[in-house]
Amino acid sequence: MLSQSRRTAVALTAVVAAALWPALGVLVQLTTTSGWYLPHDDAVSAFERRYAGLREALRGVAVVGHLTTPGSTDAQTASLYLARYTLAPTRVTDDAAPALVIADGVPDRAHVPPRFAVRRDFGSGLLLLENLGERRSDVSRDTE
Amino acid sequence: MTYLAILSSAAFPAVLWVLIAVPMRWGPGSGYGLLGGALALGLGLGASSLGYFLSLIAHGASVGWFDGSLLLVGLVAARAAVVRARAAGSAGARARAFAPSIPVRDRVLLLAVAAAALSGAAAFAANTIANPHGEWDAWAIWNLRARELVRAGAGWRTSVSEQTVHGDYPLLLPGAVARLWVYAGTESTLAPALLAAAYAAALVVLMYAVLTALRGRTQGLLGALCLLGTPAFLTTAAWQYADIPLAYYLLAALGLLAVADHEAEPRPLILAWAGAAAGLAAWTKNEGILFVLCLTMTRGASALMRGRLGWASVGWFAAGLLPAAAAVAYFKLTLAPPTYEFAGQRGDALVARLTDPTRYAAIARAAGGELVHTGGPLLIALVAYAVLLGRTRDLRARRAAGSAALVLCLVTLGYAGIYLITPADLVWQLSHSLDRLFLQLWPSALLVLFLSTASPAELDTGALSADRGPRHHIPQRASVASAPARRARRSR
Repeated sequence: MLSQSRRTAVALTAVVAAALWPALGVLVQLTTTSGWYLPHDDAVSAFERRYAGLREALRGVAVVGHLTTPGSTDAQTASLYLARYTLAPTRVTDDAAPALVIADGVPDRAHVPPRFAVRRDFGSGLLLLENLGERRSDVSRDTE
Repeated sequence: MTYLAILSSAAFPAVLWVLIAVPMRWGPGSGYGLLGGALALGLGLGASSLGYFLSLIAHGASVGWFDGSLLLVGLVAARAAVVRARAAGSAGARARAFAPSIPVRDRVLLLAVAAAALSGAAAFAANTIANPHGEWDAWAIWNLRARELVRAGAGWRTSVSEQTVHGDYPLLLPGAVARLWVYAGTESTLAPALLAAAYAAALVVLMYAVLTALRGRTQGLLGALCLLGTPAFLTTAAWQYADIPLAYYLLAALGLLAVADHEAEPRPLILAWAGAAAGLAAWTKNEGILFVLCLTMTRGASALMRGRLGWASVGWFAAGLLPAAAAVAYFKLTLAPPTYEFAGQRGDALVARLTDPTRYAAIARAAGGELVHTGGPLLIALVAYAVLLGRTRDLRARRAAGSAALVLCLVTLGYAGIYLITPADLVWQLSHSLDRLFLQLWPSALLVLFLSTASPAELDTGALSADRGPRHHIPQRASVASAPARRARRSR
């Protein structure tokens, strides 16, 4: 049976070791990662730069649609949410019903779905479309 | 303009510090100095968010006028508090009573805390440099809402009323970020990062300060060390999510109530600040509203059972709770879109979910897994610590721990209830939120653990928390602290 002072020492050692273990892990990870402290480009900032022209073009527009781009579901969701974050307070809806619609990831204008006209091409597959026709919520399939 | 933003962010905590520290004599050297500071920082930032929201309601986007008015009222109240404290006598008497000597064991722990804090700061910096806009929920919810508040101008009501992801969440974090952006004149990513750092630091200091005040410096250092040694805390702190601020307000409310329970004589102001912390928890996230309900239920039932429901205490707590609760009520009733967990739920679907045993099993399995994952080796060490040192003989601390534990159990049951009825895919929701729910409650769970276990100093001397700071302020109980031990403490 351990004496009280030994039990205290064991308990304290266990807690301190377990608590310092993640701290050690962080320090090891940082020392093996070169230049972690240097500013570098991140995905959200890059997305915002790409959308800067579009944001200017949409100034004063209350609602804009969003065409789902080809790719994984996660990538599509991320694109929609990043568009909302970048273009706020313009509301970005997850369909193509509004009069203006963003299409991102369109390889060329030939892939623009029917009943939409290109209002402006911002390059690298980012288009602002005008909805010329009836309300369609399934146009995303047309871009794929 | 950046200086104006920094000045405006410091103004609310500074005024709050005077309002907290002076009337309660929690100034530097009192043993409660850090507690006053940690409370002032978190409550001040929360108050600045409330002030910004009120300014939006009252004056569109003219935050300066409203902040100025609020600060003027705060300064007048602070001045009155200082005058009253001077009239009541010098606070220095308390300061002198605090023994500053630090035993070797605590010095070692202090070094460990410093190393863990350094590592935590480095992790925070690395994460912030890698993701200056924060992680997913930061830009999909919190900073998005801040942008809506700032960019929409007079149309902010329409903007925040839109049905978006968690559009029903209250506005503490978006309001605090937006306010800084308004003062800075730019939407710098530094503002949400600084707020995240402030809340994380305040949480650690608060943990140390509450435990030191109630259970002695060793328990305080261990509490802070365990928090800094929680991997989920190290990573989430820099994500700019509302979970760390919420964890801070839960700990502040429970910690202050523990301090109030521990005091020999009633301290109504402590109850008022506990109410304010609980109110700000509700202003942070929907989980905070659940916390306020559980807290009031537990405290009310406990007081009724003991036949000691003091209406004055209830009044002081309610007075602190009221400003934030009023803002939450206004937001929920007039602006927020419906909460998706409840909106449009059909009765038969709800009953089907509630009677589905596989959902109970899935929640229990996920919760168990998350507990092991979040706690990791630290959890095993903490269990060993509790077993090896046993429970404290400080009955008040045990009672305070029991009361806080009951609140946490109720909140946990509430979380489980939400998972049971959620119309979203349960597995998806568990995998995307459970870790953060754990993190919200983890600091308060650590508080309960270190309140209820014996401190090493208590076992060394056979006395209660011999290294405790302002021991005249929380009198030793004759039944548990032996006379020789008391004499030994006095002579030290």
